[in-house]
Amino acid sequence: MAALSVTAALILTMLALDLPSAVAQTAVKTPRTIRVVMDNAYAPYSFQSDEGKSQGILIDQWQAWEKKTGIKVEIHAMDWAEALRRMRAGEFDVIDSIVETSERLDYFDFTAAYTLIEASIFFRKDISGITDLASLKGFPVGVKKGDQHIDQLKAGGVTTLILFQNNDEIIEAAKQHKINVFVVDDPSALYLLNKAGIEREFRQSAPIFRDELRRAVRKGDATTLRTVSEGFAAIQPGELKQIDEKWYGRTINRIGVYLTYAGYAMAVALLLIAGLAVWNRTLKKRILQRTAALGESEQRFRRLVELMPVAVYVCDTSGVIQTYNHRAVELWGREPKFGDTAERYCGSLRLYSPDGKFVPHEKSKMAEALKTGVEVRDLEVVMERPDGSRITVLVNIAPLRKGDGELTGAMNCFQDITERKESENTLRQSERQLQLVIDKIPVMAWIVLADGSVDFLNQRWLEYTGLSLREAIKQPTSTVHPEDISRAIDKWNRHMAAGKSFEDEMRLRRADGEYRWFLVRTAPLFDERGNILKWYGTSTDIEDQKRAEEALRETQDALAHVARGSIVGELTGSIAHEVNQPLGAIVTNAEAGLTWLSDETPNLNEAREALHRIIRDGSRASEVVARIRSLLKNGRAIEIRFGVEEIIREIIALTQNEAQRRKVSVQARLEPNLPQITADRVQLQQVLMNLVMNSLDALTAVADRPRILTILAGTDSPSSIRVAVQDTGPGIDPQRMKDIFEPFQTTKPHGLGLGLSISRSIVQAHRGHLRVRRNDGPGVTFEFTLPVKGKSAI
Amino acid sequence: MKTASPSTASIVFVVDDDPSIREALSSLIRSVKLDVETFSSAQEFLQHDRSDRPACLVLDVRLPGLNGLELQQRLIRDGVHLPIIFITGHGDIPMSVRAMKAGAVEFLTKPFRKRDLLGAIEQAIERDQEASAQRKDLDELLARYDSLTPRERQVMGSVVKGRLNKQIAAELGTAEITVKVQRGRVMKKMKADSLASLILMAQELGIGAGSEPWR
Repeated sequence: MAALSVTAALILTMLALDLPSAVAQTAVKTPRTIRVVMDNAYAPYSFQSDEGKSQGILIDQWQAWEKKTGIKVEIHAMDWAEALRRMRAGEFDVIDSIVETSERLDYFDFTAAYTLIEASIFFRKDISGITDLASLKGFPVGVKKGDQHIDQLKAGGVTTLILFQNNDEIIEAAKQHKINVFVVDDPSALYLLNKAGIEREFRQSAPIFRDELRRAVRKGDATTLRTVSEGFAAIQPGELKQIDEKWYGRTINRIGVYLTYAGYAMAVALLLIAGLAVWNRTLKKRILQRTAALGESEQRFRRLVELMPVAVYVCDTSGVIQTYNHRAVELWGREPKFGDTAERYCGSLRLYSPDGKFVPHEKSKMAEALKTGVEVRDLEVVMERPDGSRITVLVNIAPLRKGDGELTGAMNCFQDITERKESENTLRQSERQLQLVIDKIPVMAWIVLADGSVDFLNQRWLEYTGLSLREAIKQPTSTVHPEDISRAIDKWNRHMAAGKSFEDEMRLRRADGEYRWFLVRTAPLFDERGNILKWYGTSTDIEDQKRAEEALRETQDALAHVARGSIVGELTGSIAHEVNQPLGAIVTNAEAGLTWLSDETPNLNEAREALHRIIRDGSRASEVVARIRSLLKNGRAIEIRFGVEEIIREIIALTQNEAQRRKVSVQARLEPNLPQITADRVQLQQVLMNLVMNSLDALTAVADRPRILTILAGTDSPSSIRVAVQDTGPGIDPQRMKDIFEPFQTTKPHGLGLGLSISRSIVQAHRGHLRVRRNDGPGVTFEFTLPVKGKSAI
Repeated sequence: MKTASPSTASIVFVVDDDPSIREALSSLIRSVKLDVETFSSAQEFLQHDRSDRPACLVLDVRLPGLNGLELQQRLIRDGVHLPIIFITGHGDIPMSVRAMKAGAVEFLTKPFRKRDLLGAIEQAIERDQEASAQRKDLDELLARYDSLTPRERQVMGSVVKGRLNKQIAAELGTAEITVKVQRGRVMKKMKADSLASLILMAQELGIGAGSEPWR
């Protein structure tokens, strides 16, 4: 390297010798030294050689300037930021390779521009989508400290800037994968990327900045400005071009660099044969070494090609296959002979387009590329193998050219994407299926974004509401019933703010205007940081369920009414009449009989008739009583085994509405694992119903304390259970306590006073006991015991 | 039906659908020397022709077809003035209030005692006798009033207002002597022994200033 630089310097020296200059003469008048500061890492303009020596276009140009003006040039190369700072501080006369900015105009005077520099975004090639400044947002971007573009980058929205001391450091960081994106002047970047050997790892955007390089002096230093400008103007354009070519030539590629140097060396050798003989020999030796290295490198390349997981082959211009790797053989399923003129363009048996059309080899993409010289990128082709199987491959074809651009053949690099295609197809199919499911499931499905705007509505939603997608997106809540809307929205907002799943019931308008009840459920989708991205929701039609529930509730009400009425209402009503009629007749007959006998002349016949009627009516009354007895006791009593907790739950269910209406809280305290009992289920249900209804009636009078009804069940003895109905009602007058179980004793205006008497009969028929006691607190407890084994078990 | 007394004696009607009750009531009522007639339904009672003997009705509330309370309304509507004693298996307060407001004498719940029933019957018959006597007097008075000529009715209307004969003659455009004769005829036909008793009769008949008599 050093030797070559010296060579170059020699040429320049020779060229410079016979260039007389007016500037040089004026410069003699004011002999002095000029201090020039510049970047020490701004290749190829000014940068350090591997030995730490300043070199580059600017160095050479200033040497030329020195010759022209006779003014000694003192070059100071340093970090650009430092260079700017110290120039501002007045330490130097001239700063070179500076861009004019309005800010800098305040303290520098600038020369005319001497070159145009473009700056681009450089990015690692696996990053895509970087095309301009705007697309840089979000990427950490490497940039040189003091770079005039920093402000523009920031203004363009690029906030994450990683500042480096100089361009060398940027490239070094890029090489070490510390940064993936950077903005550097093109000449500098290309030179350094090549030098670092990573030029293929990076891509370059179109230029985003264009800057004119100038030289600048301290503000007001017109003399120096003029001296500098005139000095450069005196240098021949050809001479400047030579300097440019010398330095830019090095950036083509690394091998090219050496070839260029070799060219220079030859030229110099012709001029200075003797002096350069040694150099010539040295160069030859280096070229030989290089050639050997190239051979070695080709071998490495071959191995690499073999190892690559992609298939590669090369055709000459006539399409004859020159070489291929192992993977190509695997994919083709066959091994064409090298150089076989019958095997052209492709080693596969047959080719097809992705849609299944047969493509003859001579019409293949390879044939086309060889004809047109245009490369082919990422094209799908189907290959058929000798065993009949077909695979889909992704084809990349690059034409190969000699240095002069003449086409020598083409390389095809292809990979098997059959599996990928299949999984893509499967995915697409399952997506289609999912879409179908979502559209056809009998619920309305939807997605809204975190801000509440509609993201998706399934077909059902649109069908039900009859809205177009556009209408629905505009006003998704327009179908909610006016009475439900404010409550629903309120609930939504609350849950959405809390980020919690929730459900709600509301009426939604169908296309025909009818409102139906829906159960609306939603669940949030979070990102990995826990932010809500979307809400998934379903709306299920529950109108029919609602109606069924209502019907059930009505039936329950009716049943409770009937169950209660059947025992204390209709039955006892008729019983009372049946018993009362003969009793009334008996009393009247007895009075009549007495009157007939107490007459002065007793009418014995009439009295006898009355007595007969008393006997007849008395028998009739006892028949009625016997009938009731048989009905309640022996009649149709059916004993089955069941859990007493079952009927407790049934009674609670049956009386639920009644309790709610009377604002009574009904509680059940049931001992676990109660033994099952054998009894008449219906009769016991009637007893319990009667006790519960009595308590509810009693509790209605309570206004100053909670209305609580408790049903308790537990074991009484190993062979019997105990069921109690406890209330916090007003209790029972102590004087009445003893005869409340007697028939026709009642405190209720419409009661007949038979409920408790019949209940006791039923319990006694089951060999149990029904008792009442006052609570420690307010109210009373009715409690009955029942043997676990039924009465038939005696 | 059995009748143990002369036709002027009182009679008790009984309506009850239960034959045991009917028989027992019939026996009891007869044992105190009252006539009794029993019916098993309201319809049967309505079809029966009644004499104008003092009477009362013992009526069961609960009857097939037309019930007791409905029968009471029907009788009131038809202008039949018959005191009613209700009997019932189980009556409630609203029911008895309704019956009593409509003019029932008593509301008895079965089984009832002899003295309660007979007391009620006695009271009812007394009430019926009074009412029918009143009705009889009024009928007689009306018959007398009917026998007056239109001019005599004009004169009577003026006399009971306290007008002097001279004033009446001026009003009617006739001689005072003529008025005096007509006045004497009114007093005789109405069987009034004084002006005061004629005024009372006029009140009974509802003869006011210029108005027609009650009827």
